[in-house]
Amino acid sequence: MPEIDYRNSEKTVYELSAVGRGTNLMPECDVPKTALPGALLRKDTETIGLPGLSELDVVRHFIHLAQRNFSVDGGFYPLGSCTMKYNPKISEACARSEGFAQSHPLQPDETVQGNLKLMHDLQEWLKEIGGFAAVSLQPTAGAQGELTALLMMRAFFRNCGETGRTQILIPDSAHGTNPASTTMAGFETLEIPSDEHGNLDLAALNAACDDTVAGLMLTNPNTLGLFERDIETIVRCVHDCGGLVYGDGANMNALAGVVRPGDLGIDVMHYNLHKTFGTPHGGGGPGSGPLGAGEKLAAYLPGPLVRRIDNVEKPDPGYMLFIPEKTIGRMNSHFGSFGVFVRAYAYILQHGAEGLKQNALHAVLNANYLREKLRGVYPLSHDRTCMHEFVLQGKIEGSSVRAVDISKRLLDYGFHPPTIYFPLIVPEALMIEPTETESKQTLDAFAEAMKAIAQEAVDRPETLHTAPHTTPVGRLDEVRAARQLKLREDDRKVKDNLNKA
Amino acid sequence: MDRVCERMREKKCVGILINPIAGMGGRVGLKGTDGMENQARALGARPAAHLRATETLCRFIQLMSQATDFPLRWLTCSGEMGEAVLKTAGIPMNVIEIVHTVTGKSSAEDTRRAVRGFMAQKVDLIVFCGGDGTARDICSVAGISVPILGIPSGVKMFSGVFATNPVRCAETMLAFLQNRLTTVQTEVLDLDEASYRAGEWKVKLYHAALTPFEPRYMQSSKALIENVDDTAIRAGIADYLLEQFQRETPALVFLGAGSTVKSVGDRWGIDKTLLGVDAVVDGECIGGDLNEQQILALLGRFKARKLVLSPIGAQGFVLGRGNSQLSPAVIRDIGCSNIIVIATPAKLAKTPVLRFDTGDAMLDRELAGDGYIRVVTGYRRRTLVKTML
Amino acid sequence: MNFLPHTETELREMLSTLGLSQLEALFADIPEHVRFPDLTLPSPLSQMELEAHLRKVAGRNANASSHECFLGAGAYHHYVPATVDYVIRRGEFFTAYTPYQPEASQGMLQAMFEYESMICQLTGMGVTNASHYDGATALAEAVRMALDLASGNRQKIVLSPAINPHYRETVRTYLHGSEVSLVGENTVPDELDSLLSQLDDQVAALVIQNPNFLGQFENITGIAEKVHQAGALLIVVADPIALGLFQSPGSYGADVVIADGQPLGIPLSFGGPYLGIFATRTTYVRHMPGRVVGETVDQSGRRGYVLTLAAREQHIRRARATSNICTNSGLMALAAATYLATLGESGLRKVAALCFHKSHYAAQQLAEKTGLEVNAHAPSKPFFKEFYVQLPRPVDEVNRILREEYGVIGGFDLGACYPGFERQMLIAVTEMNTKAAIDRLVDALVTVTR
Repeated sequence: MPEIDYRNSEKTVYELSAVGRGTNLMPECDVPKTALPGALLRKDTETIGLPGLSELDVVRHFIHLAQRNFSVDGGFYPLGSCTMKYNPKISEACARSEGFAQSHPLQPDETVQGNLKLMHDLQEWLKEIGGFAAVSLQPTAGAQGELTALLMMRAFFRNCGETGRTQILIPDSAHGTNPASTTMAGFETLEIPSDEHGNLDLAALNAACDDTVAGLMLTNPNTLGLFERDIETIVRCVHDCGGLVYGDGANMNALAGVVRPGDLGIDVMHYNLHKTFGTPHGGGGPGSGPLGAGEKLAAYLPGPLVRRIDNVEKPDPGYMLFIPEKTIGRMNSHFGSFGVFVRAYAYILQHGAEGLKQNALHAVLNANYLREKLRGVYPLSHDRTCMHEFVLQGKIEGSSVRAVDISKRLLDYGFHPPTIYFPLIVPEALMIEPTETESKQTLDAFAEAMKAIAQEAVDRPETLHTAPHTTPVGRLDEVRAARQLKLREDDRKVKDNLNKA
Repeated sequence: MDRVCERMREKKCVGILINPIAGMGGRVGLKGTDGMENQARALGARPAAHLRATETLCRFIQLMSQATDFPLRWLTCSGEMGEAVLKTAGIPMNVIEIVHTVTGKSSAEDTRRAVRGFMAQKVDLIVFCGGDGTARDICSVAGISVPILGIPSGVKMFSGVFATNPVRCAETMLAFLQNRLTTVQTEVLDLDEASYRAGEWKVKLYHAALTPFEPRYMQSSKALIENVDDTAIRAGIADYLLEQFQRETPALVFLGAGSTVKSVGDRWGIDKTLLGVDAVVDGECIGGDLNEQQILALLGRFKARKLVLSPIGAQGFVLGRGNSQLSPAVIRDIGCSNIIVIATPAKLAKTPVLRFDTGDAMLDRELAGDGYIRVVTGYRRRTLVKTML
Repeated sequence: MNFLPHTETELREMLSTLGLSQLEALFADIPEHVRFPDLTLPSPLSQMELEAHLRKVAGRNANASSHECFLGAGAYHHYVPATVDYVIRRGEFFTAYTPYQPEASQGMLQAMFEYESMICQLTGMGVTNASHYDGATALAEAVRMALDLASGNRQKIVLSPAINPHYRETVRTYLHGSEVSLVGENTVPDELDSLLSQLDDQVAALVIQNPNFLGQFENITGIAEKVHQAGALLIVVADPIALGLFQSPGSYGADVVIADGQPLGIPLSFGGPYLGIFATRTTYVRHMPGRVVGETVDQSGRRGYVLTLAAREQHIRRARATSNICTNSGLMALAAATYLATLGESGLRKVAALCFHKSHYAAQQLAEKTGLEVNAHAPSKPFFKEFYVQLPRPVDEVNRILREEYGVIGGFDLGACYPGFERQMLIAVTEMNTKAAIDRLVDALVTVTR
């Protein structure tokens, strides 16, 4: 094993730390002190082991780290299935209002009427956009929304006395979280193949539908970026056998203002506020995955929800929390990602119905335009009009490069790689979602880069095999990371740099 | 874990084995070269294996020179069973070690001796040039203790250990030696050459083998693709079956042939035969490699029963290839609804359609269902797969 | 249109590339009778109008800036150093995706590695993951992990009644799909002994909160031994600020430590987004849910960080502990990392000490001046930053007067969750409450309860 090369790497907080250095942010104690319960304290010898840094050390360190990170603010992120669109800055200003940021989740309803109004309106708007009877904002991310929906289905069938319904049907192009949520909710997964057009195989669906089916989890547009043309037949097929249809709203970006999943017969669906409604991804969260439900499942939503009370004697309506009648219970500590609600609320209010529809139209236009630009350069998974994203194959005739090589090379051209090897049914998949906020210039530049890379794949494949070359680090040894686990700073470094209080 | 780390620090070690006469039979219309070398030569066949092997190694050396430097040890046999090709490819003598010297014409026994030599030196990978016959010879010694990789040059290559061509083979070698690949269990199959030459097509399963594996990616979250551990998937399948059997309590479970079903047996702690149909009662194997009569006799004794089968990769036969003991009479007695088909997702990816050929057309239709059957592909996970008659 | 960049000319060019004359033609796959519905949504606002509107909406909330806040019960008003918001607002972090492309995400990955390191130090555990949604969901996943480790052979979880009631409810919801039973919640909140008596060979884990929901330290002497003797895991719900001064759960034998990281530099924000902290023994790393960042090297030997152990067993078997967590609370973990790096060893100790001294001062003043009983059910148990007082009137009534007449957001009504705790108000005091403010609260309660 070669020694680790530390040149060019940013020191960790422990490597920067010095004994005795620190900040002094806290006031002196202004009350008489009480004797500390000695037996419960960390022992004198047991220091916590936090670093000692000056405020400038801290700021400079995290700025250096920021400089080593790709972001939407910094560049184009054609990451399929993730909808990396622009995050409006106005939302940040709004979310930091003290009334929002400093209100406590356990305050009585009458003291947080502003928050409740905001949650109520957002609920109502999401109902309207998705075509549902009720919306709960509680799930904290799309995956939690999924799990919540499945738990609701389970409770529904238990209430109906249909405990023999143990199967959840999942298309083979589904998001990987779908089967995981299924087993978490106590169901079993039955995977349904796709047909040659990239849609769900109807004959297979028919063969699968029987009285053991609790439901179908369907992403529409699917992960190939294709709209399920037979959506109404699919929904009818599942409903006819007594099952329910869950819509994975991950791709709602292409549908807001275009079609309401509720109108297509979907019984329950999660929205990803951090996709469709432009709230930031935060480098891996927080997300927010509100759940819309039709009449059958509305009473099972996790609470509390917000209700409006119109009072004739007061000019303003009042708002109060309530728990749905047959609720499955709470999915987290409070109401979900409230800070994200504020941003989504601001986003919807800024756009209105027509603005949301235009977003969808432009998202689909951009995807189709880029797809057309790349036709003939890389094989298309399915040659038909796509929605907001499409899938190419990272294969070049006469070259040994793979999707991973192409995606890494894009970094050298200043673009974030697309999603790769997903969906699984397309070999060497490159999944591209440009979003509506990217300009024609950016799309053209990206297409040019993809063409240049295709040429390099033939001329000098090794450049691609070893890409990226311009990032702070090159391809990382993931096998070493998993085998020689180092998930925290060395004890020695921690101890050497202890800041003796 | 410590052992793994230790291994990583050591020089990697590759064993190279060339069957010089591999593929000769095919060129002149013979169905395999086993025992037919003289006839093949008489018909004008010339050895070609060394060319394929040289192509692979030259490409490998080229790739290695571009990659970050890492030292390698090469083990091989003398002369045309390896040494000659390594020299042609320009590999310096000081990193080559001869573990077996061939005297006279090379034979299957030379292959086995060489493999023993490789294993004594703890090779990381055995790369061989040959066909199914060579793979069988190697696996008869190596089993699943060392991964093997075939440079395709035989007449028949039904086994799952072959790269698609010499260039891909070189890439796979490099990737594996750089720890970028994992291993997967696969099957070594071969045609019964005697019956094949007589016009009968009979594929038999001979061994389980370990081979480098381009990780099959699985998505566990929106963009997180991960490398799937084949062993864990097999364990998941086994656990799920066990869970079902605990609920349904069949008195008698038959486990069919093949490495997928064998790993179910392994997970249950049963000494399952690789090639045969075994019977399990109360968690104990009460009979290995049973024939039709023995199976029927057991069926007479137990009412609640299940049969676990896995298709042959790529071809997709669930019944009718290599398991003739599961005759129509046996299947009817067991009952179609008591058959559980299992397969890893990696195997299914290569096997788009499942087939049944019991010799009883009516039964085949019943087994094929309405065009799709449910295949267990993981813990609490099944996949609907197309069937064809 | 708001953020759409195409000019009319560009739009025409792009459409003609596709051989189309209008955008709507791209949607032919959608059934016509439901295509392009008329949505009833409010008319759009300009950014200027939007800002004013939202300021007005926010203005209808009482909050910890407009009022003096003594409400805690799981979410706390602590000081957020200016560095924290400065760092997390950087667009490079804020608008980044989950760091699945390590070469382009070294910043976030290293920050997560540092977060993991510092949380390990704080909790006394071997490994920490890169966060959960919040404390409640972290606990639910910890419980699932314990069930997984028992390989389905143990189907009971003992939950202390003195765990945050919302956490317990979340655990219950997460387990709807299983046959697992939750026991212990009906025991008396202040008696660990009756909780321990629930241990048997069916119990996969025993969960306590320390300091508990009532603010008090549990008597943890020997508890880990008893739990381990029964073959179960000890899961501890902790307060990250308390860990600045008090024993880490790792030091008294916890197997999993979870906490809500909100006190570490995250605003109250009406309940979210918060941060689920999850730390466990190194032995269980391959069963730990969620993402985890590890150190490695690149192809030329340079140090770098990646998400690792993605192929952990639970993702593949997907049934036992199985977690489906995907998006987590990355930015909030970054906030916590910045908070801990800024405060450092001495800073965190000081915050913890301020909470301790100020809450004790408040409790002592209240007892002395109002004569009300403090921590009536267990007066001798030590507490950290929360305690409860027995009011002569309903808590909501007292809170209304405190708010309207004194500008105070009063404490939590324990009677709403605990039978036998009617009219008990749980009061939280942090470094944010000055002596003067505490004195005003005491005076107010003297008047209100007279």
